[in-house]
Parts: sequence; C-alpha cells; structure tokens
Amino acid sequence: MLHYLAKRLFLLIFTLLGLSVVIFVVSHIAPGDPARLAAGPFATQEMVEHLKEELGLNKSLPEQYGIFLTQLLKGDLGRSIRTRRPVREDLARFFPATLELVLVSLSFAVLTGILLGVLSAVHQNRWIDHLSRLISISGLGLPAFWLALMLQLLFVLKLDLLPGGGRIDMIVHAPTSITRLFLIDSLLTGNWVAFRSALQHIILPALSLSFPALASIIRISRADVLDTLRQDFVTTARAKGLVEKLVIWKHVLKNSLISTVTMIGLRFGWMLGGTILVETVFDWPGVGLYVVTSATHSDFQPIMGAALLIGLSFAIANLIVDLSYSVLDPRIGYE
Amino acid sequence: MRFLSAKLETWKVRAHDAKRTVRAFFRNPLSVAGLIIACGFFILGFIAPCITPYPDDVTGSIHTKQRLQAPSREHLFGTDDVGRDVYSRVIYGTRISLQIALVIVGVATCIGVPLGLVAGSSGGVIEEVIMRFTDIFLAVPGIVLAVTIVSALGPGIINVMVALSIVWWPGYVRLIHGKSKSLREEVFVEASTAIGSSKARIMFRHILPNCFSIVVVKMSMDMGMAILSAAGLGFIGIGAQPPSPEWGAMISGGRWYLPTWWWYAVFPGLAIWLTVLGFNLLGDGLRDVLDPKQRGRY
Repeated sequence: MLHYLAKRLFLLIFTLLGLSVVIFVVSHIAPGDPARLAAGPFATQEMVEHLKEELGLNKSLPEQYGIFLTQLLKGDLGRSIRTRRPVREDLARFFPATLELVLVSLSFAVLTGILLGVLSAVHQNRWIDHLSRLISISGLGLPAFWLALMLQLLFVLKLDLLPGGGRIDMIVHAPTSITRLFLIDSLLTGNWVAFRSALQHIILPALSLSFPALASIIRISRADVLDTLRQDFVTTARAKGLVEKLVIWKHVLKNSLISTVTMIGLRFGWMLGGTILVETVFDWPGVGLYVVTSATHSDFQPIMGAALLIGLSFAIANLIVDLSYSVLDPRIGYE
Repeated sequence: MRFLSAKLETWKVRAHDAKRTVRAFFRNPLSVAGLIIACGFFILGFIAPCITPYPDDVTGSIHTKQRLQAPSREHLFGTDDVGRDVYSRVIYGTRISLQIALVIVGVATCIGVPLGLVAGSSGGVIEEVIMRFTDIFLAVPGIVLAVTIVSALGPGIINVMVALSIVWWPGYVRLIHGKSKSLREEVFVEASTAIGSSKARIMFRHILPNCFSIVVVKMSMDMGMAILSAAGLGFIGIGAQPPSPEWGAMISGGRWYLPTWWWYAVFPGLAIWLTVLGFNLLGDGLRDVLDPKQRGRY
C-alpha cells in the first residue's frame, strides 16, 4: 500500500510538472508582447523594457521556464493585472466558494444518482425505471449553463422563490471563517440566518452543476446493480432468507459501487471545469468566475494559476478514488 | 480458385454480420431516434443557406423596428435585441456547430488513434512515453485547458477549434491504447506474429480494424460533447464572436433579456440539447450493436 502510494505521488508530481510545462508553453504562444500586455496600454517603451527585464522575458525559453518553476515551487503564481493582487491570494479567496459548490453538487448527484440507479435496476421496466432513464438520457445532453439560466428563469424571475446570484444575502453577515465553506462554518458557529441564506443561494447553482453528473451516475449504478443482481451470492443471500432490503442495500450496493466511485472521481474533475460556466450565470464568487473575468480582460496569470490549482485538486480526487477501491472490495490490492 | 471461393465466403459472412447489426440497431427505438435527430441536423446544416427565411439576419444586419418580437408566423422563434430572426440564426447555427464538432472530433481521432495504436501495440519505453505525455493533458478538466488556450490565442471560432482539438485527442489515445493492448494478447495476433508478420502489418492489418467499432462509438458520442463544449466557450464570451449565429453566443446574448423576451435564449439552448441528445442516443445505439458485451447495460 505504501509503495503504491509513493508511486502514485511520484506520478502526480510528474504529471503536475508536465502540466506546468504545457501551461508555460501555452502562455508563450499568445500573440503579442506579454510585457506590453502586463504594463498596460499607456506604458512607454522604456517601461515595457524595464518590465521585460524584471519578468525575465528577455531570457531564453528554458531559462524562463526555470524561473517560472522556481516561483511556482515558492507558491508564487504571479500577479493579476485586473485585481492587482497576487494570484495566490485571489485563488485562496475564491477556491473555498468553488469547492463548496462542487462538494454540494457532487453530494446531491451521488446520493440521488445511486438511489435512482438502484431503484431503477430493482424495479426494471417499471415507472421508476422509465423516469430514471429519462433523467439520465436527457441529462447527458443538457448544457449546464442553459439549465442554469432556465432554473433562474423559473425559480428566481417567475416564482421569486430563490435568490438569483451570489453566495449569501448582502444584508447577512458571512459566518465566522473556520473552513471558509459558508454552510459548514454557519453550522459550526450556530449562525442559522447565515446558514439559511447560504443554503438558499447554493441550491440553484448546485442543481445546475449536478444534473449531468446525476445522469451519468444513474446510468452507471443502474447497469452495475443489474449485473450484481445476477450474481450467485445474491441468490444465496435470498435463499438463506435475508430481507430483500438488506440484500439490496447491503450486499448488492456494496458490490456495485466500484464503477460508480470511478465515475465520481471523473465527475469531480468535470464539475471543477463546469463551475466556469455555472458560476458565470449565478455570479458565484469562485475560481470559475475568476477565470472567466480574467479571460475576458486578457489577464493570463490568474488563468494559469487556476488551471494548475484545478489540476492539483483533480489529481488528489483521483488518488482518493483509487485508494477507496480496496475499502469497497478487499480483494483489490495495491502492488 | 480455392482462394477466391474462400474470399467470397468471408465476404458473405461479413455481409450477413452487417445485416444482423443493422437489424439489431433498428430494433431499438432510442437508437433510431438518435439516428434521425443526428441525420436531421446534418441535413439542416447542409441546406441551411437554402431554407433560412432571412439570410441577411445570420450576419450583422440590424432591424431596430423589429427588435424583440415574440414568436409569430413571420418569425417562428421571435427576434433578438437588434431585430434579427432567431429561427434563421438557430438554423444557421446548426451549420457552425456541426462544422466545429466535425473538425474537433476529426483532428482528435487523427492524432489520438495512431498514438494509442503505437502505444498499445509496441509496449516498453514508447508506450510509457506516449501514455505519460497523454496523462499530462488528462490531468486537468478539458474545458479549463481549453479556456487557457483560447485566452492565450484570443477569442474566435478557429481558436476554439484549435483549443478543443488539443484537449480532445488524449481520450482517443487512452481508449485505443487499452483496446490494442488487450488485442495484442489475442490468438490471431499471436498467430500472425508466429508466421513472421511485421509489427506494422500486425498493427494496421489486425489491431486497427478491430478498434474501428469503439472509435465509431466514441466519435458519435464526442460529436455532441464537442458541440456542448464549443457552445460553453461561446457562452462565456471567448468562443464565436458576434454577429456569428453560434448557439452558445446566442444564449449569452439572450440571457440579459430573460424572462420577458425568453425566446432569445430558450431556442438556441433547445437546439443544443436536442443535437447532443441525438448524438448520445446514436452513440448508445451503436455501442449496443458494435460492442455486444455492453448490450442492454444502459
């Protein structure tokens, strides 16, 4: 196990180094002079040259990558032209909001997806199966940003039931910062006004982000439960008189979760990417919105920093998924 | 003579198999629905210039007197904020979306399939190098890398195609690598190696044709996903630029006019949903008939 973990961590570092090379190369294919862009439209030629010297842009490409990597290892991701703050500071500020949104969306998609997938398989060709399949088929093609707009149209503009944007009401004080996830912090501090407001604000973005994941989790868990139901041990469990609920929720479900867990890992990554679209619609102050605003202002440093941070989070999520396999199925070893 | 009759027999078996596959495909109503939707959109894309009621509206024309009109006989999907016919723009958008998707999926297949084939068939250092290089591109969600690339290159349809092609090929490498690795262990490959066939012959004559079905399935599913991704980039403002009638960009323009002028954002969204759904259903149907192990699982 430790050997496997060490190998995976080595691969993770290698992959992230590779990603840093890709992003560095991408940043250098940008047309135009990056120093001119960073200095702003009113900078004189002298100022641009000075900035070039300061940023090391007059050095060779490998030398520039060396500087970039050294700064990266020190945690220096550069400075945003738009916010005028270090990118690291901005990301530390915005990432908790994105993480909270992704975790709530993922939890909803996993719980509802597995429940519908199991019910769909157990009651194959009944109404619940048809309903689940309809959700899974239609959900896969649904553009998350368009669904977000339609939910906003219905629940905010027409029915006036939920807030249309932001993370918490303007008149409500944010909860005392512990984890920087509003829902958890407000629960921990017993700040129910903040909890209620944060919950109301997260419902629509989380629903929009979770729908495509929900669709694929329903599909995969239904398929796996159907396969497991045909196994001999299920017949044995039934033959020895176990209650059907126990057979399904304890024996069948546990043995059907491997592919679903893999899907959860992949979907976590997809959701991190999907926040770029959903956060834009709901004005959610997270990394996604930060990336979009930076992209529309030609501010490249924040995009590079965010891509690396998202890559790191995705890699960690996949590592956790791989390690959870042996918990689900003790026959799986890590050699 | 014996060689010819053996060849004829092989072709007969293949024709019989193909007939059975087609029949199995058409037995599934969802697959047929997918095929109809996908073909419908291809036809629509092809004949768009002939059936667009207001061809000038797909470009930069402005009709201030007709702005934001509700759906009617003259304008089936209503008009947008500068009076352009939304129906004409959605129809023409089909052409743009399909062009984008075809380029992305085509480029990704041309890069990913040979790399996956080489990695899976050769093994050793070559396999390690290709697969680790591929992993780098899979380390970050595709849309994030695509946004990074488009931000560097600048907004526009061509740059979106370049960016999405760059993030799309690794999926094909992974898929073909796995398949060709398992095919390498098959008896027919061993037999071919035993009679002294070259590596290239084994790769292109025996392994590649057996990867064909999974590539077709992935391509049909990816068509929908590529349309979705391009629309996403258009929506956040770094994809197709106005006045291009790209669906994502149209939704982006229409979002500010909700809820009163709902048609502006709703119809392009429905077009995306229907197209992606069609390609997904088609891909599902093809997988059911081309990969019988998966039949009935989903």
